Amino acid sequence: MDHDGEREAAARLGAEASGAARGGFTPAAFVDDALFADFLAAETAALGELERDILKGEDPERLEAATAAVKRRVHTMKGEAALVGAADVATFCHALEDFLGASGLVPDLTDRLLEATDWLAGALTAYGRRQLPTPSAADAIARLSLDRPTDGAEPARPVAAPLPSGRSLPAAPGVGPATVRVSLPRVDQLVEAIGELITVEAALKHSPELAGRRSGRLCDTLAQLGKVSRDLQDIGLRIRMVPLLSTFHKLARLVRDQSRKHGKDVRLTLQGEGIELDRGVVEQLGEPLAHLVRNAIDHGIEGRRERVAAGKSETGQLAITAFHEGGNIAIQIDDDGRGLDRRAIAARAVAQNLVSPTQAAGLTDAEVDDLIFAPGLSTASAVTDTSGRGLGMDIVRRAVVALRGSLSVRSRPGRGTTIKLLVPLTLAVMNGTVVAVGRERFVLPTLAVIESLRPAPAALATWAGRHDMLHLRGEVVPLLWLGSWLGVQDYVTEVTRALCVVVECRGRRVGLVVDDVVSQQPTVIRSLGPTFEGQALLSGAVILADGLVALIVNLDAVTAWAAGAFNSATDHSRGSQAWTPPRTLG
Amino acid sequence: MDTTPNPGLNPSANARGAARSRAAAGKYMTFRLDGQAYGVEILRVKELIRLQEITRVPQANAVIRGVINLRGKIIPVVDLRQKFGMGCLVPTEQTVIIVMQLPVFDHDLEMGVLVDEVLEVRHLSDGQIEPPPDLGPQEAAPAALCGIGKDDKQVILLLDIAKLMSGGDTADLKRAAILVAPTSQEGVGHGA
Repeated sequence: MDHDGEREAAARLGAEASGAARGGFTPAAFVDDALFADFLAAETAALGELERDILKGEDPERLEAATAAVKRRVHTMKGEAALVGAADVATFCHALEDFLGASGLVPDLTDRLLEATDWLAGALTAYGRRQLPTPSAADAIARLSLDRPTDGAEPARPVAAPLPSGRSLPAAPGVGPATVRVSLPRVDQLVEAIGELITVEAALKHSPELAGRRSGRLCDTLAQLGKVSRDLQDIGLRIRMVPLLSTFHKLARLVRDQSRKHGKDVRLTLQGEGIELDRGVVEQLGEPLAHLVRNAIDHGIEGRRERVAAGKSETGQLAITAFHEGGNIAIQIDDDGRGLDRRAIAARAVAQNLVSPTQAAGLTDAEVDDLIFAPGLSTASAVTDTSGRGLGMDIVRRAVVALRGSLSVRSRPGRGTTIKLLVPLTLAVMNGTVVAVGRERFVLPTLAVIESLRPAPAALATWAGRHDMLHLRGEVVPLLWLGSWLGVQDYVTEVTRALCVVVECRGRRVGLVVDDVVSQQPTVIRSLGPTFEGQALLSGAVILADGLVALIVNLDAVTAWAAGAFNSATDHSRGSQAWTPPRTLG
Repeated sequence: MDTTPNPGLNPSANARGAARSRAAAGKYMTFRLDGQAYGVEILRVKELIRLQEITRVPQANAVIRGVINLRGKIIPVVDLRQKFGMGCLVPTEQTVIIVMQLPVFDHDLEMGVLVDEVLEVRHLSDGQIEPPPDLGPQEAAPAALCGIGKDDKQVILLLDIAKLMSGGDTADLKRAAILVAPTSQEGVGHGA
């Protein structure tokens, strides 16, 4: 079978259906804009599920359940489309239903069924623009031979492996607890209102008028109020959480398409798709994950012949696993491919001036692997060609950093690569370290804080009379006076009376000089709003326990400063141990 | 509310800043700044809050005093004296933050405005509102001045506050204040 040709035809069908106009479309008379928008949103979601069920059918053990689910979904879609007057979709679903009735869901038909979903997706897009889908349902049915079920496919055959009895099937999606669909702004409003409630509750509890008259009943009521508002806060955060499910299933389709394109056999295992994260995080994870999956299949997993020659099974294994780790969510992508080509990576890093040849020779395997995330190296095509895993890594890294997450890689030459993403549960909450500078307070992300210390005079040095640095266990760390950086008045200017908070961002350590470290607390991150757009020194604001606003220091800007100011002064790449300070203080 | 819809104060028209707006009859929140009375359309005003500690934002425009926590929401606070080039406001017992909802920078922004003192909410009829003055043959009145309210006691400069926050014609506005309201002469010294 010419899979490539087929896939391209499908892409065309989907693009065409959403593209050229065949004429305007008007929904049924009673359908207002809101209702029609609901219809489109619901069917788009249903299409995703349909695609997922079709793919499930490729696994003989799940064929029976998948067939039933696919039929049910197509039938529902037909009914709903007919109801709002979307005749093309209704006609198409009707044909699809007949097709499934005649042939069943056999793996050989998967490609055609996926093409059918592509057309449906295109049709929904066209409806969204109030256009009729092109090609029409009749043309699409003919082109996909939906009216000739057995064309090019084997006739229906019995289920290969009946489900072992006694094993319960996973519940069909949509059969869970009843749900309502609520617009996101409304959810945000609710969360905002809960925030206000908590502030009001604190004000009430601490009001001096109440302090005088504390009866037992009043105390009970206040305690109850506190519990209710804490519960509400919890629910509020949870309400924005969605499971990874849909993201994972998009990856499943990607794996299928990509492995066919490259003529590789890849078996995908998904785990932890029920894990929930903030909607914003999940949305931004899609692209980096797709990059990683594409890389794993394009460059990691070998072709059949190469695999057999290496003594591996013909089918490559790709596992995507999500799990809780600490307060964060880890997503791990494992392949059993050829692993990273460390020699090529190190050579490239030297060619790009990321490390000196001497340094490159001294790097450990893990350090070489980490170089694939270094900016600049990732775009290098030479690495992509020889070792793979170059392309798009910079994009992945940037996306993960934007989520305040981290990335790590572990490679086993000849046996595979594991890439792990660590992202916070929600973008809204961060553990913050509050520091005092002059009479002002600022917040640092606790995740980035390595340690804080009072620098000893013997450990300090000044480069060219301007740049202070600190010797920290053999490493030289540039110091940044937060007070001067942020324009604070009257901060402690004598380094031995100040505190030094060592932070790490993008693999670079910087010592931030502050007056004092005040506290550590979980904080809700808020935007500074459009008034302060382009404000590079700060990355947001938080409300402290006393109700006052404190600003979050943007560590990216700090790191950029350190890179700029010290590029000439230090051998800046990884180990600056070789460098000695020209002049010592004290 | 007895205010009539006011096309001149239509938010989108003002935010884009093209046409000059004209104040119409309705309710105005009046406040004092450096001796002069000003008025803003009451519909813009969300609430009045006491002066509270304002968190400075590094590198921000001098007009922006900083940000405050308004029941869990972080909003910027503008020093109107700075905006008018009258120097920095020194807080007193009377200092108030007027929280307004303004369409500026293409956003619907909640913003605090620092004023010396809030006077009252008063109704101005058409007869009490005059068009912005002609300040001389070469000078147009500042675009943010959309009318002049007058009664027996005082002159109230009616501000199109959204335009004021999006535009930069504040020096003109100060001049207008001086020209039409002789009582505000004392403010001249600050503005230099």
